[in-house]
Amino acid sequence: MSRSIFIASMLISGLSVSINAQEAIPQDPFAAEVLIPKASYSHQVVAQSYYQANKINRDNQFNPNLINFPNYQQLSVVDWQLKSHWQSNIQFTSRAIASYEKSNIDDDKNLDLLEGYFSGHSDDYAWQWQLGRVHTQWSNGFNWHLMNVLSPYRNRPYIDIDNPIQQKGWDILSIKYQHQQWFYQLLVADYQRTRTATHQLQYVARLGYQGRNDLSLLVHKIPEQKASIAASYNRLLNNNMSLRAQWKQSSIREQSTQVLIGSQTQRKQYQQALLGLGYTVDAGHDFRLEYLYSQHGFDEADWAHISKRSLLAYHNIFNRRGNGDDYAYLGAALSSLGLGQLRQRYLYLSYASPLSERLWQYRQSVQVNLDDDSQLHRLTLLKSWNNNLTSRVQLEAFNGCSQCEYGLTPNKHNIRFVLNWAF
Amino acid sequence: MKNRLLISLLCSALCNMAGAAQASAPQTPTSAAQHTPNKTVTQLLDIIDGYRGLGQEGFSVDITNVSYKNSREPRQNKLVVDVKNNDSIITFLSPARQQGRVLLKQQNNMWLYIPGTRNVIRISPAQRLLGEASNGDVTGSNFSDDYDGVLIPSDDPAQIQLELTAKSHAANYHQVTFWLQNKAPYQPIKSEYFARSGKRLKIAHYKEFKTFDGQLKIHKMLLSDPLVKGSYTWMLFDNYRANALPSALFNKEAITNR
Repeated sequence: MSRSIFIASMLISGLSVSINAQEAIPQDPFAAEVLIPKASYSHQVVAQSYYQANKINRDNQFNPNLINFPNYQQLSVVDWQLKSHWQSNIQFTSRAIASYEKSNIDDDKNLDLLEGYFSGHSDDYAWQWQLGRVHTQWSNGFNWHLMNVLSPYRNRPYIDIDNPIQQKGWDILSIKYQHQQWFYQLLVADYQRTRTATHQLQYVARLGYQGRNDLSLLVHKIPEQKASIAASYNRLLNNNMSLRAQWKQSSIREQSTQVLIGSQTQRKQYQQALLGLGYTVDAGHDFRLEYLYSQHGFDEADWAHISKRSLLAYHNIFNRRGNGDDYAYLGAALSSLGLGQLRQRYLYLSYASPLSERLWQYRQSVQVNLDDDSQLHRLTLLKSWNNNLTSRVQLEAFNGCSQCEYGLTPNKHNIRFVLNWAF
Repeated sequence: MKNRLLISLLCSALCNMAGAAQASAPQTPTSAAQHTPNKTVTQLLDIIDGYRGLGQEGFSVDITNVSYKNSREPRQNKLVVDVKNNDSIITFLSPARQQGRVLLKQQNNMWLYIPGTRNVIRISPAQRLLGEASNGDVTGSNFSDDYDGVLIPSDDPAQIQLELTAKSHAANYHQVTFWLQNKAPYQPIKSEYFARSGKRLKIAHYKEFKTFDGQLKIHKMLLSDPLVKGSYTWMLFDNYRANALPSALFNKEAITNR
């Protein structure tokens, strides 16, 4: 009896598969089982290369043909990451890159240690420490990262996500304690105001909570400056939506103002605030919206001054009547493009399609400067060709008037072809 | 898509594991069946959950997924999964382009660690569910805690049929139907997962079991998507091992330091 029941059970089980599938069911691929090997170390090598063609912005009020920007640029990077467990509670992590950069103007080769640190933890993971060069990531924003406060500022993925130096860490000693959902961290890091300045120390204290509501608060102190304070919050609103917010107050302005606006209208503290919303529909389409307010950027009065002064300098130099002040002014104006937001109110919108069966994905985003209505549009098409090779085609278009932020960029538009091979 | 499918399938397994860990003192399937041939629904749910967990202890398991579609070549993923209570950490070992990613799951909250940028970002449940399984995958299922069950009269005396209905809207599936053997050790045979609309979204066939440290566990499972012709995923669960996972490990501040 029991045997017949067993046979019936098996028949029914098998029959149900046939009925449901109505097509060839793939054979068990695990006939020869292979356990995942345990290793005392893991490493990965990633090779990435891109070629970018640029359409130069010839009508640039900050650049009366004083500086040549490249028509094209190539970057090839070999990225090696290693994680080695020395003992059960101690490990060593490193990340090194070798890069070769070439354009129609110059070329450059570099070897760089992005990260290299020992880390450890107590048996219960309550205590954790890190010593060495570590790339910290404390932000939870989509496009802007106010919580990554360690100086000097390098974290600007909204400018170039393929720049490997953005992943370079700081030389730090960090101690972290976790208790239930709370964490507390103290960190001391090397600090240089400029590359040739004396080495000093900067300090960070963090605390935070993890859960449906994520909270974090940090205090950052660099030499001879008042402490900066930053806070972040993010929350899962429902199965499809998440909310994130960040705020930072700093006594140091990201923009260098001495040349551009003198010492007028300087504040004691500069505020930044960010509010973001992520929405993923069930079918996989992903939308993000983020608003940024930053007092580091220039207000209407300052910008009117900069526009007027840079226009004067531009004409003076263009008509061969420029003096040292004119050159210095446009030099500072050009540099300001890489120091952070030029203005104060920004909006970021992005869309990402679900990955297709063939592993294609389309992404599109726009950053809008709400103060001058200029925009940066970025359209990206990604494709994974196999387990190792991924490619990306990215088009960036800058749109704005000659005195607007995205109308002042070196390129009008560019297109980049990226290949990434993960070994 | 592959990544999302992977997460989706994985969470399917994980959340059941987590459910097993939370179930009140789940009996091992063998011992339970030998003494009480007629099980209550609660006992049957504990048994189902017990096939994927190690009681209330933390544990780890290796998972390999091979997904099939008519339109493309099969794809394989390998992961290591750590589970404790309702928390889990999924470490991606392959494919190479996803190696090193870590997914932390605490109840309905999820964070993804991306090794290239060192970012740990919150993701919404919809993001983990995207892909061929849509929003109706078995993720988040904790049958003992999350579902009410009733026994359905079966024409086949060799099988038990259970119909489970979600206790709340937070559950990933409105209804689940389970078929189990009507004798010790009450091995699951098949399960079907339904959306609130009544649409059948997923079918799981439990193809092989294996004993780990004296406890019988699901070893191989075949998932099929009735909405997509030719869509199958084989899942291999292997190397179950008890693992004293500290609670502090299941923290987004800790997963970058493992």
